[in-house]
Order: sequence, then C-alpha cells, then structure tokens
Amino acid sequence: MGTLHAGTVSFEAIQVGDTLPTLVKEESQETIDAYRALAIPGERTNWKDLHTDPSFARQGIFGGTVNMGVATVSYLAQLLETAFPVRSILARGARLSMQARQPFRAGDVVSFTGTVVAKRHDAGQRLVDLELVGTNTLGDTVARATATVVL
Amino acid sequence: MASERIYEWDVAREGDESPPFVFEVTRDTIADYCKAIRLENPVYLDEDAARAAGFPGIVAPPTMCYTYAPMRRVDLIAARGCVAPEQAHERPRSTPFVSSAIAFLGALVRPGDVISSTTRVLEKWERRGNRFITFLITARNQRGEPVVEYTYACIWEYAKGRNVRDDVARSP
Repeated sequence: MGTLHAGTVSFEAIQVGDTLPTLVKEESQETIDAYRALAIPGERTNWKDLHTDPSFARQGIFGGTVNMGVATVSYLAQLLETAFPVRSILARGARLSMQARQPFRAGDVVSFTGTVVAKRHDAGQRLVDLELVGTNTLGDTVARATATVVL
Repeated sequence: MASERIYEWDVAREGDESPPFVFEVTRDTIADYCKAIRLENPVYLDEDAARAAGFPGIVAPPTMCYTYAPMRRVDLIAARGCVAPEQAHERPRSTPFVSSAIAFLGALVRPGDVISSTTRVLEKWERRGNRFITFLITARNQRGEPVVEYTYACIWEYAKGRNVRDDVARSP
C-alpha cells in the first residue's frame, strides 16, 4: 500500500488500502472567530453563538467554545486535495459526508487521515471511495467521514 | 415585550423552507474563504494555476458551498414567525452541528456567478431520546444549473443525561 499524492495519482495505480498524507489543523479562538467573520455571510440578530461567545458557550454542553462543524468539513476537503486533483473533488458524482463525534475546541490539534476503501466504475465514471477520520491529541475521534472522488 | 415563539422541535415541520438567499461570488469572497480555512491551494487564487489544473479559471473551493449557499435556518424560522433557540430571551441554548453530506452536481462556481439557495427542513428524527433536525440546502447558479446540495443536521433537543455525540452515528 502507498501514500497518494495529487500530482501523481491515477485511477489505474490506486489500490484499496492506499492512504492519504496526514493533514494537521489547529484551532484557536482567533481561527474560530476568523471563520465566523470571513466565511459566514450576514448577521444573526440576538444570536447567542456557541463558537464566538465564550460566556454563553461555557454554559452549554461543551463547556466552552468549539469550531463550526462545517470548518471541520473543509479540513477534510483539504485532506482530499493532498491526494486528488481539485477537479476530481468538484466533479458531478463527487461526495463528502461527515459526522462530528467530539468537539474541535480552541487549542486542539487534530490530525486528519484517510484510506481508500474501494475503486469502482459507475455510469461511465471512475470512482474512488474513501474513509476519513480526524483524531485529536488525546486520541479522541473528532470526526468521521466518507468521500467519493471522480478520477 | 411581545411574547416570542421559539422554533422548538415540536414546532418544526418537515417541508418548512427559507426564502431564497442570493450570493454573488467574487475573487475577494473566494480569497476570504480560503483565508478563513487556511487553504493555500493556488487553484483558488491564481488564474494560471487554475488553468494548469484544467479549469477555465479560478474556481470556488468545494466546501465554500457553506458560504455561497449557507444554511439559513434563521430565515426559515423567521418565515414561520418564530425565533431560534439561540435567540430566545430566556434560557437561550445552542443547537449544535452534528453532520453534513455534500453532493456536487457538476456546475463549477466561479467569480461572477450569482448563487441562489434555499434551506428546507428535510427530516426530524430521534435517537435515544435526543431530537435532531436535518436541513437540506439546494443551490443553483444564475443559469439555473444545479451547483450543489447538502444536508446539515443539528441536535435540537437533548435527552437528559446523555452525551449526544454518542448518538449521531447515523447519516442524515
């Protein structure tokens, strides 16, 4: 089994069990705030924010601020980009599905890894199926995901 | 102060839908998105790099769908004459994200595109006493071409004493 790289990957050479390069991401309150400011359009009136309001977040289920779950989805897409051309991730038929398992808190460092679980033909497309996971430094699974790319 | 009606799980109805949300994609909004997620792939920032990658020019990153077609539960809830649990004057609470599934539908998103999207309640569901709502967001460009659709599930009400994250092992 080998490690896939976007510059050299090919459908013919991929094998089940091949892995993706590890992507490491760290969150801080500044990066969480930046996502809210730059990536989410519009304002929400009187919105108590789990991500950017520490005093409100302390009273909630996580006991503090956490990143927006969709930011974690974006990190998984970045993981795919290390191994596949962007056009294979954006093609019709490509998919990315993630479940949050533990919060990604300010101060956490999460390593994202991935493995090829299948390669197949469907409706004239060459598809590669993957399982992805994000794990924090405590060994907790932060996110699990599946993805399909079109090569 | 007028009484507020909170969009509780029992109030939500499958099929509730937001008004359309319109977003114009520009080079700057793409660059801002890349900055927000610390994404440095030149395909999104440099025309030559984008063409070398087989695109007609700069394209929007895959997960920028959350920006150009955002999940607009606030608008959906307001359309029902309600406020979100996060907006409640008394005992506001969060309704955290639990899962999302994106399907790309073929049309690239590029600077100059105007994306129109709607958010709809796709499904209400329960697991071990926890109550969830899954929203479906669909987006089309200015030519009416489908761009992307994705689900976005939230935990809406917690069962007492449970860790909800143990209960979300279910695709939306």
